[in-house]
Amino acid sequence: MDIATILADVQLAVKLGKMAYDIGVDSAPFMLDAYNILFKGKVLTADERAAMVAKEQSMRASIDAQIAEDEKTED
Amino acid sequence: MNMKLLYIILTAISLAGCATNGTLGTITSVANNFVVTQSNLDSARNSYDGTALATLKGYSALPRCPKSTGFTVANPCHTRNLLVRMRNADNQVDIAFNKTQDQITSGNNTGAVAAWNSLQTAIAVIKKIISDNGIGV
Repeated sequence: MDIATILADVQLAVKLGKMAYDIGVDSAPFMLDAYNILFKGKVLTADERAAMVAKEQSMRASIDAQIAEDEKTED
Repeated sequence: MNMKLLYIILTAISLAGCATNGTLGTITSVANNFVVTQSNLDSARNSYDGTALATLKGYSALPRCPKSTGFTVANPCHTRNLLVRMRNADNQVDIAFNKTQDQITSGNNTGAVAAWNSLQTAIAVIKKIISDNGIGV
């Protein structure tokens, strides 16, 4: 395996790692709450529930913005 | 091989299916006893958000695939068609969660159980989209 191939593989691994990290950053707070509710008996306050919904809306707005951008061109 | 990247990205959705399924199973059991609690709904919603929705957002953040191309490991990208289909399915899940919440808030447990059944259907739809695209759920 030549140096260029190795570097390309490393670059790809870094890219995939970054993607996994980004998903994890979004995912972790939700999963922590789910765990605490399911196994620790946590009860969400109204504020915590509102924050959850607000975060959902933010994430969906981000997705919808990308879809709107995609609408400009065909696949 | 071309679907390998998609598999990697959406493995979390697979996990979401499992996690949500587990939660759904729990709540379905509860529903069979005619009780859906706020905590049941909160845990299910957080599980869905932390797995399926977070992964969908990550997928949307990938660069757009060039025309007539799909996923490759060397070129992580998203397609408009799949993103739109998944987002539409996610929207139905969101509506179902909100309806269930409304029923719980109003103290209508019978309505909550019915809304919960709709939620299960909505989640099954997004799971089918994923499996139809060659991603194990």
